[in-house]
Amino acid sequence: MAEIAREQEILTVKNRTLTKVTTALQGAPLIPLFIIVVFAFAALFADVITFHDSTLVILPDRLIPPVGFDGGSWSHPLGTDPLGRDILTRITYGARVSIIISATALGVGGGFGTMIGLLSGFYRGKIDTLLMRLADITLAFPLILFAILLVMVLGPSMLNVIIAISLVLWARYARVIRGEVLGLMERDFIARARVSGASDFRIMTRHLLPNVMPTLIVLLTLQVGWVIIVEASLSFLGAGIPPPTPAWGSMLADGREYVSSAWWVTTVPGIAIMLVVLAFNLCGDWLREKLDPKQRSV
Amino acid sequence: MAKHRIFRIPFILALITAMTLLVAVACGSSDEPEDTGTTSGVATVVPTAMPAAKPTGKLTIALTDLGNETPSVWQEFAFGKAYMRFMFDALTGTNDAGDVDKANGAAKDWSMSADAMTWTFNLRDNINFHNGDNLTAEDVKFSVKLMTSADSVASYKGKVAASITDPETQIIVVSPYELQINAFKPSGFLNWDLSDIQGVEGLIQPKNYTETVGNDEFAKSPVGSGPYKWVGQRKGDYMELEALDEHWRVGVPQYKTVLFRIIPEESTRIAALKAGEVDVISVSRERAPDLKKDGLNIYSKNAASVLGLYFHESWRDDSVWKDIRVRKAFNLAINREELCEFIFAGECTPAAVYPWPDIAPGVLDLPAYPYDPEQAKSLLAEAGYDGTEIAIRSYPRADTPEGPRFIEAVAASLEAVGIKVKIIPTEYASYRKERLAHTLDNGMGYLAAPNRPLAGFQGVIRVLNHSEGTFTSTNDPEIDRLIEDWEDAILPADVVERSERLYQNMYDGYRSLTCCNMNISYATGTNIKAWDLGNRVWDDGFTNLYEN
Repeated sequence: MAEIAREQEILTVKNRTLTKVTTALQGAPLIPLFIIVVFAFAALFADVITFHDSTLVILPDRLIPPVGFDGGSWSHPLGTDPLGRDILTRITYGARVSIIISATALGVGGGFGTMIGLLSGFYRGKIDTLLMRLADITLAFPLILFAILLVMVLGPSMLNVIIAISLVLWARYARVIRGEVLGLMERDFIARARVSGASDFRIMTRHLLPNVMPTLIVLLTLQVGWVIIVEASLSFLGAGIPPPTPAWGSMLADGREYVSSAWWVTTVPGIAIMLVVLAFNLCGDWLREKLDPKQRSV
Repeated sequence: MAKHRIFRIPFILALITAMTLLVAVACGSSDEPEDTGTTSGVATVVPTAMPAAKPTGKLTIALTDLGNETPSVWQEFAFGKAYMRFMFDALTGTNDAGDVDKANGAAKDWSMSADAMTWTFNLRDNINFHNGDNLTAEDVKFSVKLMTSADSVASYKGKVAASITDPETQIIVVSPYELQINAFKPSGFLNWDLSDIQGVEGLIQPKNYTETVGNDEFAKSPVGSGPYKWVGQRKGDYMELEALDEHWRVGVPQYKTVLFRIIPEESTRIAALKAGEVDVISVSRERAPDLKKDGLNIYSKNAASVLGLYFHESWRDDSVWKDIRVRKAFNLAINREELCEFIFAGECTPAAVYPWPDIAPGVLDLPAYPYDPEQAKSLLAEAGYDGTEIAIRSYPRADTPEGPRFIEAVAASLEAVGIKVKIIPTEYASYRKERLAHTLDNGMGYLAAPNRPLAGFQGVIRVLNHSEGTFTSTNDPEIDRLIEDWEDAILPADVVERSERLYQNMYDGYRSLTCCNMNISYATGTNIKAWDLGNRVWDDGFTNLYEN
């Protein structure tokens, strides 16, 4: 009897969890979410799920078309590039590069920008003016040009691409978070926290930060696509990830000269970039609606 | 009243017609056949002089780069010769066969003493610079001084500087049109060194004008004596030249305007050619057949250059290449046959020694090193290669648009035998600066050294392999001795024999990573009906495009 009761209890908990997940995912863009899951899975398990070495050059195998086209074979489902490397393998490893750069750049740039936004909105006055002018200056630069300049000075490498993107990225976060903080500072709970003797640090970390988190999450999601585009642009222009490391942008660049004779070399990474960026943008839009009541009412 | 006016109109028309006929008859009289006064009294028709032909139209040449883009004989290096030869004359002229030619240079005649220590050059007296100044021996002396100066970037100045250590005292202006050079050491090829067969070393710029305006201003508004004069440039983008109506060497140049455009991206160059925006482009060997199918013209030069990578600063103690076994391992790790077939579309053959002299018969028998990755691995293990990272610079170049792909393929081959490689994408100009500064420890970069006459190879070998060479990647007393010994040879048989000894030494020592002997291709619009790329080095006969 007790066992049946326990089983029922477990079932109830499971149902509740399922209900919660279902509720949370209500209206979620399932296809974009699926693409993101596949993208993340490919990035994390690239070395397990691929059969070829992403940098192994086999010249006699160059420019094999994708399976289904004349000369294509299942050993290279998406074909090979001008150096005989398997495109599917390189796309998979390229996803890893994109995710590492996106996560790190967003973590560093977003984190720093959030901190600046919190400080600026909390203290206002001269600090606010100084930090926001700095942010304005950063935002005034043409983003790609600024990133290219930095990478050219520092030299092309994954670390330098991350630094370049982070240096551009922080200002957007600082601007948005400051705006949020300015609004929150007028709310009663902040005044109560002050009266109860909470330190500035505590107010910022325990009261302001959790309240700006939904905005931050939405911004982060929307910016993943942007970072992927910037990284691809830098790689395409030769200022990104140096060869032979596979990066979607440089894969696109590799195929420029073969657009008419071997379309798959550019088309496949192009589609990959488009799908992932679109998926993140759609998910970002959905999250914004989900987390921002004002947006929902609109 | 109105009636009178109506009558006036035919009268005015008749008057105008009559006057027009009168003028026509008066003007036309000079075109009448003339009586030449022959005894027969029969009038003979003498063809009247055709109006003098003038340059017309525009020629646009698109390349990946134009050297230093600084039009001055000491501030430009060899790749810039593509445009420099349009603007400047050389002391010693050359022809398309790749020989020195007394018909084509400022010197109409020259002679060498029996010991090859003294050279005398007699100049033409009818060459003027674009500003009207007459070209004299003073201008030649001034240009050689500039070109051999410490700040000069001229590619082969080292060879000239070895013969003319002090231009001020060694170059004697005998008269405005006679020049004597007392060489520091026997210099059997000094006339070659001061020609336009290789780089810009032999080109002449005006002394008075340069001294008046200063070096910086000269580079902005250069003045030469070539068939084309300077119009302007936007660095990294284009350079515009305008033809003289007539030039002493060329006659009437075909095109009024020649525009050099810098388009590093091959697909953009091809698109520009197909759209008719440009007339001539450099094209990779792989793309050339497709363009031919599309109806464009392809002009090629077989075995135009030797492609290889340098083992930079290989003499330093911390260099992995100090050990011959490592150098050999690098050479055995490369599959040259595959590179030729798949990267260069079969438009090249495996090569053994860098750079390769076409006319040294014995050396040509040296086979390319075999592809033996297993032996390469053993040699690396034997030499105790510790995984030091090799940084290979990667960049496209006008003569090697396949450069970045080639570097990736080479890097992959090296990694396959356990060599740690890093590819650094850059531009050739940046890499060149690093080479000059000798900051490329355990670094590599590639160059396609054009094939040239043996005399020319003396210059390039000194630059690349003599310990005093500006770009040297070796610092070996034995190689220095062999180079100097070769330079001192006067008799042709000695020259060939000593060159063979040097090349054999370099071959046995695995001194570079020589890959292949390449053909070179250019694509043009259908308006270019014929084009001889010639045998000069670096400019690939662009000047032949304007000759009528």
